[in-house]
Amino acid sequence: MPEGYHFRDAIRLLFILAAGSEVPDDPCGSPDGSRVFVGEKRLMAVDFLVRYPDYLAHDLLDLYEAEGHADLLRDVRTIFDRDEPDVRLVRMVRWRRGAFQNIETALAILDSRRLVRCVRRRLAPDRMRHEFIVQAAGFAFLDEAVREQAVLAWYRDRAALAMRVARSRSGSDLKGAQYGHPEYGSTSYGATIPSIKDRVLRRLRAVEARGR
Amino acid sequence: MTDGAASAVPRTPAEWVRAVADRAGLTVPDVQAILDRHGIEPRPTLPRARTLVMRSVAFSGTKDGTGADGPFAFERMDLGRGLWAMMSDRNSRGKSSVLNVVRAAVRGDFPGPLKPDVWRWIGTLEVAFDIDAVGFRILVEKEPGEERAERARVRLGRRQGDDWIDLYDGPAGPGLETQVEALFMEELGFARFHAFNAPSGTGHTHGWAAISAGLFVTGPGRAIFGDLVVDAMPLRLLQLFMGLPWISTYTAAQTALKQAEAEATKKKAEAERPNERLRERLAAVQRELGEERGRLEGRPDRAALRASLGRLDVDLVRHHAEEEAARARLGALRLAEAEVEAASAEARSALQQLTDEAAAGHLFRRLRPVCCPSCEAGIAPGRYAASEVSGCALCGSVGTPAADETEDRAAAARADVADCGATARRVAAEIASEDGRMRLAAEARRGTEARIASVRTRLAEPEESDLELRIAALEAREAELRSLLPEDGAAAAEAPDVPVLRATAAVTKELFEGLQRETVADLSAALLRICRDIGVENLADMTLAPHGALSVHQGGSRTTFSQLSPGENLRVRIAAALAVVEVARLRGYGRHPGLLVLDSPAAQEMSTPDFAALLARVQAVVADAPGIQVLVGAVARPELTAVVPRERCRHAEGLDYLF
Repeated sequence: MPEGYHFRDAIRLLFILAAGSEVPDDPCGSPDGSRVFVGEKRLMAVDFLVRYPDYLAHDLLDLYEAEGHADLLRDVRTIFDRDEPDVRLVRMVRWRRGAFQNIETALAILDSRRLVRCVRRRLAPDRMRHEFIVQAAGFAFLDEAVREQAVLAWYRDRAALAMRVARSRSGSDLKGAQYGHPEYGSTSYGATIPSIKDRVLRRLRAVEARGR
Repeated sequence: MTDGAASAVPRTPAEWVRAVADRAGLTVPDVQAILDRHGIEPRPTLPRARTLVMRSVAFSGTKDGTGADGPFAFERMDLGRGLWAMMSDRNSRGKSSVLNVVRAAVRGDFPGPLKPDVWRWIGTLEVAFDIDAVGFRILVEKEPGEERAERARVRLGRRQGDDWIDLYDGPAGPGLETQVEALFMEELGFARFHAFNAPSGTGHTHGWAAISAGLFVTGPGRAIFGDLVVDAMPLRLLQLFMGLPWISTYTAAQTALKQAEAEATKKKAEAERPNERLRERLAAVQRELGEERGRLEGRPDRAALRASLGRLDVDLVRHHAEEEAARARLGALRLAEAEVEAASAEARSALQQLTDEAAAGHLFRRLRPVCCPSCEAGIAPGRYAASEVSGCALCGSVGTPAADETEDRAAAARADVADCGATARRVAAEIASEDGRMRLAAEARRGTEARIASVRTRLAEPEESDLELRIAALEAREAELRSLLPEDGAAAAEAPDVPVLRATAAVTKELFEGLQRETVADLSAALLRICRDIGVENLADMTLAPHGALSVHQGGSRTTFSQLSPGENLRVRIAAALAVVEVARLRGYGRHPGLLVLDSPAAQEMSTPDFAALLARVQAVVADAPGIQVLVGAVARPELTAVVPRERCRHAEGLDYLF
């Protein structure tokens, strides 16, 4: 086992895949209870939101300003109150296709335990799509994980929150939105994507001030 | 009668000046300077008496407006010493006009005393006279009928052998008067009278017109002697004609004294007036100054404010330095805090990740891979059981279990977090402390700045500045006004000349006082005698006071000259004129020029015996004083013709006129 946080990455990805999965587009449905998460880029984009709580907070504020749900604002406040932009930050490197980290090891952990099946589906002769099939064992594993390791519930909740932003948006769409941040967009290739917590915190305060 | 003369021996001028200096308590040079300034000269002796003798009178012209219009002439009448008479059997036959021609000539005043009609008629007029042995004449030429004096040509000439040298050749008027006065005053050796007129407060002089009036008695008058009663002129004339040593000096000193006193009084009054205004102004300025100072009292001393400004500047620098030092320390602490925060975040993040890693690892490790992570080939059943080794059943690696390693790292991270927390708290405490110091320093600085601003504002307040400027200006004004005001009593100080002049007058008066008393006594006696002779009735006594007033004891009661009847007035005036001549002659140093003109005594109801007595007296005077010349104008009477030889008369007999 190489050094690193592979199990943390694996369970984070599993929570994300579970939260973002859907019933397979199959005439037979999913008799084994598995669900599918479509798109590697999408997975990377959502993972970016989980690893950079400040960027997620920014997108949640956008959502709050668009939808007006008060729980969104409370969630953003919680992110900052718990210093998550610092404590929960798992840095990523800007690469050609955006934030990137080799997740192969984490996916191998999931795959070798039959929690997630990673497949490449050919949609057209020149078009392939990554699909991540979360097995029923995977969902059972997550339930057990939350029961046994309460600290991991944060990933479940955070994945669910990130999916409120991602919804059914494509990976490209999400990446494009993330490039729109000056700090992100101006990050040179190979460099760590910087935090935007101060800017988002100021915005949060402004939004809160307007709401009073 | 002459005993007193010896007792009043005149001192020398040097002794006189020294006596004045002693009396005034000053040095001789100081006194001399003051005397020179006032033109006071010592005259212990009198110039020799000069004599004036009318030599001839003639005039002619053309009458008009009368019953006998046409040319007329008062043929030349030669005159000389002794008694001469213009007589007519009736009044208004020209006697007075002839005598007035003489008088006009003597005064150089045409027409002057002449009646206007007579003046108009005159075409030529000539009066000749001698002063001592020098012959003079006044020649008037004008068109008969011309009344304007400036149209008359008048020549004042002095005889030079058989010729006349004109001393004046011009129209009648002030120029002629001035020239004639100068001639007579110079030739007769008279000086102008210094006189002081109290009401006007001015000194002035009387000249030939006043002196010559003592030579003419032409009727009753207010003055016992001469024409003027002002400035004690009768007494002055008497003194002059009788001749008193030092009298002119005394007169000059007395006049100068009165003038100086008047000027001092005037100056004091004038000085007091502006002084009064100055004092009022000073009081106003002082009032204003008090008010302004009162306003200033409510305000801090500007000097103290400026001094406090210096202290505040020092404080400001100190507070500023303290604040900056605290700020610098705070900056360093903030940097440390940020570093600690970053380290803390890093540590907490690491702890979190490790915690998560451990938790996830705990879960994942319970699940054995069912396929190869690489090739996804299934794990053969029994592999895990067959491989009861300490290493991995798949890769067979042997080492520290990952879970233990993570736990170690988590423990280290936990310690880091704790360290960071402690450091953060310490830094935060230091920051709070330093921030407190900085805030205190900043507060002190701002307070000092506020006080400085306040002081500067107050110093720059225009009103306050104006107030100070006003006070400074008022103080300067007060000092100026004080300097303008004399010291107490200075204004009342006597002019320095006054004591000297007073001493001069006193010393000089003492020199002739006794003689004057005696002379006046002689004059009074002569006057009484003559008055009795010429018919002033019931006279018990007649005393001429030293100051010139005549006290008359008549008919059991006392009266004065001014209360006499016109006839008595004229008699006394004639008596006075005669008495002066007589006393002067008797005392030997009189200065009467010897001419006496008496006009129309008969007009004042003089009885025949009185007239006879008058003429007898005149004759007696003339006889006793050979140099005397008396011209009488009178109605022809036997008493007159008896004493005046026919050749000395010009007589208009019957209804005739003298011209």
